[in-house]
Amino acid sequence: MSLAELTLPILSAVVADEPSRDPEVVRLVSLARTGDRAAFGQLIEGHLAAARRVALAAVGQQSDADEAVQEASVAAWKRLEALNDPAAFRGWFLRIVWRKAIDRRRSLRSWLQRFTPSTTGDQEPIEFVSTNAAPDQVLLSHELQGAIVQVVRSLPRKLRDPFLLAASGDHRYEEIAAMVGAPVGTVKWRVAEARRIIRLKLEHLGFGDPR
Amino acid sequence: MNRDVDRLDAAIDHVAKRLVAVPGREADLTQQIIRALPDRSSRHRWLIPQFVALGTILAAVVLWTTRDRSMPATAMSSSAFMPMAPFATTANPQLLWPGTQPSERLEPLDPLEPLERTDGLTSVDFDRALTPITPMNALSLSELSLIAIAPPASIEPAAIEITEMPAMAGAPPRPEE
Repeated sequence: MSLAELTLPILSAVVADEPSRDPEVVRLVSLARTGDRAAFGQLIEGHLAAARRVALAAVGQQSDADEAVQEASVAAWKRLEALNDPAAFRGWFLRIVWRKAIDRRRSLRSWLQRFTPSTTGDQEPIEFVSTNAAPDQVLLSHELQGAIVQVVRSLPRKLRDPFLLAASGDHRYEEIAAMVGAPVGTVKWRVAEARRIIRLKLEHLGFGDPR
Repeated sequence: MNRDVDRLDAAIDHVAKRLVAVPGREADLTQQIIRALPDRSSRHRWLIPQFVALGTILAAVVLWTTRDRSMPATAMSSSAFMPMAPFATTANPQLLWPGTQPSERLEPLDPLEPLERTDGLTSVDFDRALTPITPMNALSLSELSLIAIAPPASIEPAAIEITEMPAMAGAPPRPEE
């Protein structure tokens, strides 16, 4: 089994369908507006995995991402009245998550960590989630994984953010554009540019023929 | 070459996807979030400050429009107002400045408080409680006597005798030789 068969290209992983207007979501939003916490829990549980991936794309660490998701959930709970279209809850919620994660990334602690050698996350090896799909890990050499991680993390944030959001495979380009505050065409260009830079740097590092 | 590039793209996709992969603990996190949710505020709670401000303004307007106008104003004292009163009550702009048309808004000013009380005092007013004095209508000269006033004595100044005058004013005296 080749490596290409095990992975999906990022550009094709971006969701292309329009979000469906689920009446259940509308009902849950209405219940949550009346103060029903259980309804709100059901409402966010279906989008929590995507929300955590969004936050992780912004902050880079799982613990910070989960804290950002919690903050965003509380903020969404408080601001449910501001949601004009209950059927658009998912995009609205993910945008709040993204903003909270960006705020956390810009926080003073993150700023200080940039100058603290002991806590620089960029130098640490990536913590891959342990899954049962082990063959691809076997095929991907450890050196190549580390090199890709370093190259991705060295990207400018304007390129890295949409690239990682697209890599999650949860969002349409329109949603990514709404989150990062850029036009759709710009987002598409940034994703392609990020990929081009990553590949170029890997080739310079001698990873043109991964085995 | 193309196969290598495809493999590199696939490796990039794979690593990028795993960079944003999260462990499946959504249920626990959901419960944690639900426990941390605060009480929802009322939908119109944000209107409360606006209503308070509006009510304060309305109350002030009602109090101002229904205030007791018979009470004398205390902001200006009668002594400070008195110099304006004769002019304000008697002045005619056409007399003072011929050719000017009187304005409709020019009206004699009413004093804020009575300038002088004409009725009897009903309470003790320490400033005005002196016994009235009968005015003196005419001065009678019959009781005056010319003898009572002694004529002033004549003033005679004493003679001034000058015995010696210096040769020059301000010059020191000459020593005796």
